[in-house]
Amino acid sequence: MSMTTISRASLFWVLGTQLALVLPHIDGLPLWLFVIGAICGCWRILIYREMISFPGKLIKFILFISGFTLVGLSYGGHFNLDMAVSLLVLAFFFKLLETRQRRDMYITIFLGFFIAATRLLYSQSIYATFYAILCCLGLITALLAMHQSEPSDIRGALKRGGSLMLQATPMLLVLFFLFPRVPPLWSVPLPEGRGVTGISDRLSPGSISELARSSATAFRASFTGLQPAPSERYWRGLVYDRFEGDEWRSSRPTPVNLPRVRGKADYNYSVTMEPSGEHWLFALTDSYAVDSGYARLRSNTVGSYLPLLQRRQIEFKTDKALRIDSLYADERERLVSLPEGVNEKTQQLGKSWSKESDDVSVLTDRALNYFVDNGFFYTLKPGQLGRDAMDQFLFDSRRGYCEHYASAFVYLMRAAGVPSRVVAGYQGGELNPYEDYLLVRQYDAHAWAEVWHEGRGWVRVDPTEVVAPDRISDGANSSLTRRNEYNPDGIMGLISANNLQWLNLGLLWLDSVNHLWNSWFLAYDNRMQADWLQRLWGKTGIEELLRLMCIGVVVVFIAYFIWGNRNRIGQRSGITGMAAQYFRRVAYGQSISYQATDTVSGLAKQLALRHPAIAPLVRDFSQAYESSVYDQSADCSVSGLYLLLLALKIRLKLVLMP
Amino acid sequence: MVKARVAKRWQRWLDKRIPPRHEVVLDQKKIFVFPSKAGFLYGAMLVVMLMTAINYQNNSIYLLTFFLAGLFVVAIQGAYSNMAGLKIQRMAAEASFAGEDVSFRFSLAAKDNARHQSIEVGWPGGPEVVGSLGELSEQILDLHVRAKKRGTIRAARLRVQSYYPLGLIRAWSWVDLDLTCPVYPKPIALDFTSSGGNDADNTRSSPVANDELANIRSWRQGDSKRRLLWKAYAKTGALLSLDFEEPGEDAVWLSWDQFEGLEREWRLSGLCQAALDLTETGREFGLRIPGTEIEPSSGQAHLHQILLSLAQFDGLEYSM
Repeated sequence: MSMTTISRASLFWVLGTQLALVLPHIDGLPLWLFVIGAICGCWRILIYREMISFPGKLIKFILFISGFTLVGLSYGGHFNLDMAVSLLVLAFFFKLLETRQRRDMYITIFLGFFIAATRLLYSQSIYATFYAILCCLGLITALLAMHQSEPSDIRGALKRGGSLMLQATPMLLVLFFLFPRVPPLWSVPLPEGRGVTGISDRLSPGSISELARSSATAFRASFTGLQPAPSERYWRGLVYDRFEGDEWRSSRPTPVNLPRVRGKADYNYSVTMEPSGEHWLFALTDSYAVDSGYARLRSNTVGSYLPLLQRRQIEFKTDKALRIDSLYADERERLVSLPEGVNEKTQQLGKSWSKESDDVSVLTDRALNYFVDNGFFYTLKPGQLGRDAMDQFLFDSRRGYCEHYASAFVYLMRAAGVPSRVVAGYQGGELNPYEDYLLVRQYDAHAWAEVWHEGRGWVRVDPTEVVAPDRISDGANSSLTRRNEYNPDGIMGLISANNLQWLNLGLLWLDSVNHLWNSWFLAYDNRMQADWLQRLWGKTGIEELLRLMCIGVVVVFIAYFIWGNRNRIGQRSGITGMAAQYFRRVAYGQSISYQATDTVSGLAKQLALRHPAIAPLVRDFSQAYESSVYDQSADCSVSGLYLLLLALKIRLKLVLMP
Repeated sequence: MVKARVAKRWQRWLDKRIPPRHEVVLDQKKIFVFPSKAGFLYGAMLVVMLMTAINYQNNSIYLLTFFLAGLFVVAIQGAYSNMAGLKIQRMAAEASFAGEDVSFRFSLAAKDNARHQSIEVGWPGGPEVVGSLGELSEQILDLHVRAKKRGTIRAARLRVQSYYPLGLIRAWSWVDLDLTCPVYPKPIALDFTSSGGNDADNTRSSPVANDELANIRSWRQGDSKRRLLWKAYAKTGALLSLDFEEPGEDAVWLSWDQFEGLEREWRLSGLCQAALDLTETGREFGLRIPGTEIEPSSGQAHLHQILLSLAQFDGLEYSM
């Protein structure tokens, strides 16, 4: 085997792993990239079979230039993460046509490691992470195959690679837990447009019902202590206070300062948000985020300063004292304003009610009764609404989903002069029986209303509750299924259509694994690290972490060394001899002349005579040494270590002696 | 100048740390470990990956990075373990003529039945051979070196190294097995001036001056090419070779004085050629050079003895 060429086995491993590495990228990167990849792969196989030769310099040059230009063009010259990943993948493919020597192979394999890492920028799920680790196993096996002089079969190679990976685990754990989680060093291009579609900052008829088919996860919430009842699980996301054109919009969020002293929290909970790419979070009424980086807003919601591009776990507490008790004048004006010239009939109805009473409770009941008395129907298929959507809904079609009811209600209230607003978010959530957390899916999306009571502040009114009470008590999924309205997409649809409870339980179990992963692994950040360190070590801070990390690395390194040399250490001449040698040095240090005697037992007798205090210890050592030397059946490494410890103890006693 | 001094220092340090022995077992004291070029590239990749993890606050990438970093540390231990306990033992050296390759033979063995993979053994900056111990418990390797001149060649320290398991770490040692090998003089056919002092003829390969000793017969299978009469062949096309008298004649003495006026090395080369030729004829001959006298005899063992004394004449020893 020549040292510069590459072995067949390693080429096999690299090609196989390369395929596995780029496959998950197929949904995000341009398709032509994979066509190039396939061509390069086939080319390399043909080269291997000696049907064609390696491409010449000119061909390679043309290929490289045109490939990189194509990448540049397909991203419009705009540098982002996708483009960077595309370039990496392209380089990875092209390197195939160059892998003649070991050096090329190293570059290909290291590129592979990096591509495995970039995949994790898009998804950090437990599956994606383990997939990346599996790919690394393939690459490591390729490296091994390059340096093994005895070729082995696939199983043997994987076994060897896997054993190396297992050996790497202790170091991994030390570094992962103790490496200080520092803030980003510089800003980086972020993955674009891959967030889950959820609730948007505009609300128009149909925008919530669109989500009702999706069983994708919106977030997971777990409570410490008290949990709200199902009918109280209103997860506020966005508050719409302006009606413009034919849709509700949110004003710019206004952060409010949290008071220094906070009351006892009613609920302590954490929400693991799926990446949405947006700034708004979903939280219970009166919540604030414990961590900085999030702001409590005047609209009684919580926002994030940075968009949610990664799955993130956020700790919340609730505090009723956070509620506002008065409105600004401009705010009040905005909260009752409606556009002129549209939905005239609705406005007139509202105005006529306000002439009869100005009590907010009376007006609220009036509006809710209007829905009950006039045969309104809760449905996902309300039919098309034209320009005067409110008029058509209230007086004509009378069919709608929660956003129709919420917006019509707020419209009526505003017409009657009551400051009111629409709130959108999620309502409900499925309790996971395995890990005790709430799984909130997109189909739990909901819209409701809030009206301003002088003296009481904002009061939630959910018109859906009077039209379809089971929506609030049982959740969207069962309530809609009961109405034969729909089935969610995908597997959740299959479950509700056929009532496959066992399948649902299986899925919930899988989801609980995911949740554990999210809340223990992905959520491990500087705060959790500090907590953990404080509890176990009593001190915290970056210096402490670095110190512990260095100690950990050294300890693991020494452990590796001892493990790797365990056969040699076990030999009689090894550690036992070392212990005897050390004992001799200790004895000579006590001015026991070595001319008189050199045997361990002789020295021990003299030492015991000189220092009666340690006589039993010395006798123990002497006896243990004799038995270790003369008893062939003894386990040398253990007895050796024991001897060494005894010798150290003798030395320590001598030092501490007055 | 400085470089030479540093090199000398280094050699002295090495001689103290790994003294020349016929058998060397690699251990802690003798094995050096350092990242290879690929190892440095790997390190650079880890740094970039760590930056990515920090900038994207991505725990999965942290995991992957630290996992690969752990692997690097495992590779250090793996590279060391692969070398430790390896026994390198001097075996034979095959002497040769100056200008040709001498070969040193040594064996690799596992001290405690451990596996040792992809062990590269070679001269500094020279060619190398690869050995591995797994199924085999011992492996014999040959390394060649061009012998520049006559004397005793002393081999340089052997570089024993391995990139196993991942190529990220190079573990190596400089082993001095105290390898020496005699190098015979380069055989050169020279005009022979016998003790009589009469001029010899000019034909190549006429080792013996007295023409009457030789007669001409047709070439037989096994005759040396040197003994072919090329001139006659050119003229007549018949293959004729010189034949010598049957044994039983007086023994021939090859002596230092036969090449009077020539330099030492030339004389040795001439004597070497003569000894080779005489051995081929089967005649008994002896050697008389200053300090050495070997009684006439014949055969390969005798030839070897003669050549050895020629090689060791003056005790010339040099390093490769």
